[in-house]
Amino acid sequence: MTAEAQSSRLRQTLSRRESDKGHEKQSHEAFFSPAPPARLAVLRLCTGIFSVLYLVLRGPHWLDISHFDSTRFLPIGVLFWLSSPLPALVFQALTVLCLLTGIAYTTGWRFRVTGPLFGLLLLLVTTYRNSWGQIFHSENLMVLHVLVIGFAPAADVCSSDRRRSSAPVPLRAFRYGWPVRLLALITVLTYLVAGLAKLHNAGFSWATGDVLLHQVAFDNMRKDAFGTVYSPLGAALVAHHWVFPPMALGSLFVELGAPLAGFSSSFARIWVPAAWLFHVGVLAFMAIVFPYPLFGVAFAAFYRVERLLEWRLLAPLVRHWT
Amino acid sequence: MERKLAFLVVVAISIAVLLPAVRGFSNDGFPLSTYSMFSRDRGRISTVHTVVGLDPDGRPHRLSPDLIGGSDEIVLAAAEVSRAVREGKTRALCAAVAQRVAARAHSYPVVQVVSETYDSVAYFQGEKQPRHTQVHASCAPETSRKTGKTTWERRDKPASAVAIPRGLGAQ
Repeated sequence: MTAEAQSSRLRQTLSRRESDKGHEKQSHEAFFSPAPPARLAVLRLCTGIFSVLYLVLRGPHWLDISHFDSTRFLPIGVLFWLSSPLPALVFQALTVLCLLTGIAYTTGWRFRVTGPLFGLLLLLVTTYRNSWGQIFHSENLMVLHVLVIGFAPAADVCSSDRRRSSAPVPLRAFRYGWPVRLLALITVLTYLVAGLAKLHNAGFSWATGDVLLHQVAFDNMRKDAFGTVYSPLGAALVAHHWVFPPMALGSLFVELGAPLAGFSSSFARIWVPAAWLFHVGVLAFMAIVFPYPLFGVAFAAFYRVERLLEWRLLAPLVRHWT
Repeated sequence: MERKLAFLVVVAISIAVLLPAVRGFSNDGFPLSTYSMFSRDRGRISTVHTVVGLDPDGRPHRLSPDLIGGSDEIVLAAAEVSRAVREGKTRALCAAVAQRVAARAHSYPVVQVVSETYDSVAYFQGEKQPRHTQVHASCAPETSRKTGKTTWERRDKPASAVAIPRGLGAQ
């Protein structure tokens, strides 16, 4: 294929900034309006790279649970029916299989099979890892997003599958739009639930900042009591009570205001940075890392992420997959 | 048809994500969660359930989450100690921690499962000594040089208040 033809195909396959401008207002207002295939493909790449790295970095630590006493096993979610822990070898094999399908998901290799399979395996291994008396709330959104993308046509472009296929791909289509908006909707709903939980458990007094002050103080104190790293900033700030009411109000704004971001692109432009800062604050004051939102992957569905493919740095990859 | 199916999927997933809230935040789950961390008021006075190692002089030292819970996750270690205290299984936990302490050649003659009560706000203003300490179980990791096997002498006590002195060192 000549360079000119390649360039032309690239332009057709990826949505162009200019053509998007006219459509975007409508597409955020209409949940089911068409979108370019590259948007969903880039979301596949973002969630895939993140999940695979997460598995590589955290997986070895997860294998510790293979050695836990079986009395600690408290199955939840899709594993509620398990009466005893899985044999260590089975969990280790599932984790490795999950990692391999994750690589296939990311590269878009035989995606119709590997996409759903990775979603289900990630659900399985993370649920199992969370079935030992403590739920890690940093993994929920990643799993929900991978499940949605895994079952969506997210490998029609920029994928290994695309290299083998000569079938035409539409510039925009209904089937590429609603899964992206569903990802954004899931994101905002999880924040809404977190906000409602605060109102349910502490009422509007949560906004006074006392609950947050006590949470920051307790969490850092417990870390110190367990001989691990705590946030020196959070520890220093507990002496300054006035800091906490505005932070509490900010948290409630992010959480209870989240649904508006699902329906208004203008509000989303304010909400996404605010939600990201919220997680920066949690990291700074409590030394708790929520990597999925901190790296921006949780919020990628709010943006025209297909523009990333226009980066020169990614050009060789795009050419390879187009 | 495709549009109707998409609509149904969107509605079903939205309901599923909201379901923990609709059900009154009663049971947390995964991946559908109540996200109720940080939502309750703990108050200033909080109790931390943990395991400490006593050196030959009787001074307590902090043990790492790995030694306490068998994993580097602090929340898993904290959950494990809390569960043991709640269910009255501190003897078994003490023995398991003692085994790990002995296996890693730490020189603590005694390991204790304790509940320490602090003023969490005052803690970072210098009040690092617990206001109250309850010892749930004590046990002694001992390694036999001849056999290489580890044995544990359990020294279970009735719950008692013991003030842990200042200067806790992390291990």
